[in-house]
Amino acid sequence: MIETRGLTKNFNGFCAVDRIDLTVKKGDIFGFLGPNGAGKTTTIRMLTTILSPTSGTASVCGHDIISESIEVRRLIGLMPESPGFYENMSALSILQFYAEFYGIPKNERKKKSAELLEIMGLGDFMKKKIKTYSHGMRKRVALAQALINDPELLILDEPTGGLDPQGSYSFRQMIRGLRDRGMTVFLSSHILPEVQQLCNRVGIINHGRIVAVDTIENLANRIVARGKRNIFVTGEGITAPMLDEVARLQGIMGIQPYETGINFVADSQFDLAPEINRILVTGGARVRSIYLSEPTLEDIFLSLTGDEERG
Amino acid sequence: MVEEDITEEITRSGISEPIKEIPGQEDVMQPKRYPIKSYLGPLSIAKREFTANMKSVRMVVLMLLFVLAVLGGAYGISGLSTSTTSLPEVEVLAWAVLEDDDGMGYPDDLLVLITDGSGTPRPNVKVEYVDYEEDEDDVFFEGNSNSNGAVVVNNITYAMLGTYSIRVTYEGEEIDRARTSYALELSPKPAYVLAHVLDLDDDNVEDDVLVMVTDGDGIPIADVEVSLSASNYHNNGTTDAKGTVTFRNLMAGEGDPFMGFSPKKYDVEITHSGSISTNTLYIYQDDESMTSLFEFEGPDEIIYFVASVFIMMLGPIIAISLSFDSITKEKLQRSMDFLLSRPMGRRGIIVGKFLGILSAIALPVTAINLLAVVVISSVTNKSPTGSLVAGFLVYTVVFIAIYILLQQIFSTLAKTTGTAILSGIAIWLIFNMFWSLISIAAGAAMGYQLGSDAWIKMNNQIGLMNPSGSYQLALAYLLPVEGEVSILGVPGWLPPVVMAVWLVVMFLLATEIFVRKADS
Ligand SMILES: Nc1ncnc2c1ncn2[C@@H]1O[C@H](COP(=O)(O)OP(=O)(O)OP(=O)(O)O)[C@@H](O)[C@H]1O
Ligand SMILES: [Mg+2]
Repeated sequence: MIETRGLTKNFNGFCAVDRIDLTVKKGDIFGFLGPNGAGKTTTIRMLTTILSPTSGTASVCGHDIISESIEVRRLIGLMPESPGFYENMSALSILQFYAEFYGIPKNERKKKSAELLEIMGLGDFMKKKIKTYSHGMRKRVALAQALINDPELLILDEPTGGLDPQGSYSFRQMIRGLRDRGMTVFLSSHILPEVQQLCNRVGIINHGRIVAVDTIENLANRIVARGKRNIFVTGEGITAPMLDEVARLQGIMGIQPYETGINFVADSQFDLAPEINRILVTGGARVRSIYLSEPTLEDIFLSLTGDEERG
Repeated sequence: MVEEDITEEITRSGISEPIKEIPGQEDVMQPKRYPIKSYLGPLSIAKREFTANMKSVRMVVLMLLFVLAVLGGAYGISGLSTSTTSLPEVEVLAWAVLEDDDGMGYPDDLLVLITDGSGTPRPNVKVEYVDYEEDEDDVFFEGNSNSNGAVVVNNITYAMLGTYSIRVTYEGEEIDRARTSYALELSPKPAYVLAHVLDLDDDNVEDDVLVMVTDGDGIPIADVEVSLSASNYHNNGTTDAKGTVTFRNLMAGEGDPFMGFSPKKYDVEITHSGSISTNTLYIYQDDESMTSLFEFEGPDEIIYFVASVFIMMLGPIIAISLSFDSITKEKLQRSMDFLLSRPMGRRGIIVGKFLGILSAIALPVTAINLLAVVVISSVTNKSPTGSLVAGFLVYTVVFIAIYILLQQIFSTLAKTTGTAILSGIAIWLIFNMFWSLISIAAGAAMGYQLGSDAWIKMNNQIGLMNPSGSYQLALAYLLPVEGEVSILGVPGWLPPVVMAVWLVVMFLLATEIFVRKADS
């Protein structure tokens, strides 16, 4: 579905996407993960033929993104990062408008647009002007328009950005449903759990470079193998000798006291939370809560790229 | 699944319904695809652009302005023009002091001929010989023109000659149009030649000569040979039963009909009953016909005026106002990516937008222009020249199209909507206002006098280079001025060609720039 070779984009000498090689297979839900400014949107804009690459090639749905760009556009659906609409038009007429580009006959355009908006839960709103829509509703319209041509490949740039948990959940359900219908999905995100829940394969990009492409399980193992984890403890009566004792534990990498509690930075290879709890409780402290944070995206990068990446 | 537990706890807010399960999977596996034709994208963009513009407040405001200027202008000027041309079609064609027939020692009779603008005698027009006084005018003579249009005032005293003058009243209105005449006494029988310069063929140029030969009572004399000659002109004719002979278009090819001629001397030679007399005739345009262009003699001139003043100013403003944000808005509201990812060439986006905006403007503008033509011809009660009307309608649309494309280029290049509109207004100012400064400066550099023929030619040639100038010139050539029009300094075919070149070049530039800059 997607095959890139040395895909590169320079903006006035600044390399936003640096020689990336990616392969997305039919039926994948591919997660494209990276922090802000990593080059996700730039990559997506190249894959969707909006931006022409500085160098390198890519084929999408079996067509070259440069020489066969129209064919590519015909077969993909794009939900841009921050979609905007003609504010004075209704969602229904906007969808019908976009449907025209694909040669869909008039009566079918209307039927299909209404159907998609109905599925998106916008049935009651579809004849209202976009300017009355909330952010979440606009996101739904953006997803609906990406489906108007029954794309083979759906490319979503941060589909759940700015959505509330329920909205995000709905979107994920929708995406799973589309996968089940045989659609290939390429989505970008900087939220690790979201990608973990949805995607079978993940590519990680940082500073314009691909740092890893793998299945979720493999990645998770690698992260756990090399990452670190925060253990945040709240409670009363925690004293300096207790902390000294914890510091002596194997795998403790740092202790950061905060007003609300104490953060222990631990090597994720060791299961240190019970050990810390034991030391504090036997020392006479009253432990109220122990919170184990998931590895952050930053942790992943650190673990995947090594410390030299920190500079 | 943990995720579902979380969502159940969260109260639904904002949207009434959640996203639904996707129905039936079977039809999905073979999605219907239709052939993509290259016109589909541009056409749907054009349609959307057209409707959006038609519904916009901007359009309403602009068209109100346009109606005010064009229809209001057309109506107002037509009214103005009829109020002058509806003045009685009467001229005091000539008046001549007659011979001394009663032995007073000086010529003391006055022959006055009353005709219409084409030299046909007007009977029953009141003629007075009057001394205008502050309280009460002193009327020495009062009478009506006879069937030959002639009135003879007899026995004027010597003292009257300086202070008394002719007053003609026709249909209750006083006509102050007594013109210089050329009277010539012929022998053997008392006869008078009254020659006058008129616009007999109605081409807005007073370069036709009417020669009337009458006796002392204004009775026409037929079969008199009249010849008219100048350095590069010679013609002759014989008077008809009305005593008249005409010479037309003496000034063809000389000077700018809009700017006036320099006076020219003609020799008039009359052969009557074997005797030959000669006199000198000067032909020049008097002040009235000098300003004939602004006197709006007919519907053609009014259409030309409305186009070259009102539309030349407003047309670009309408084009700029409706297209300055056509690209920037798409970028700023972030709907551009939706268009760029549709199965169509990038050119199609700008072409579609151009066609949409153009049709949205062309439709009401052409309707209003047509209405203006109707108003003009019904108020002046004359029908305008067909080719001028056609040119007026077509060139106006082309003119506006050029400015839309120009503005679209700025809209593509500009980062903000403000820059886009400012650039458009700057171009408008340059083409419509500052451009004439170039010819003024160039004229000064070349040593031409402002308003001289040489300067006018150069001014036209420089004006031709910009869309507004070529629009104006293209229409000027459709004005039915007879004779040579190469006077304007550019051949007649050139202005429309220049407009077409502007249109094509701007189109190519706009599409090319858009293809390169759309994604930035
Ligand atoms: N049109 C542009 N001109 C110049 N620089 C650009 C342009 N678009 C993106 N960049 C730069 O390229 C880099 C990658 O940007 P990109 O939008 O691809 O990041 P991203 O991964 O999508 O980030 P985010 O998560 O914030 O959406 C950024 O440093 C950005 O400043
Ligand atoms: Mg992005």
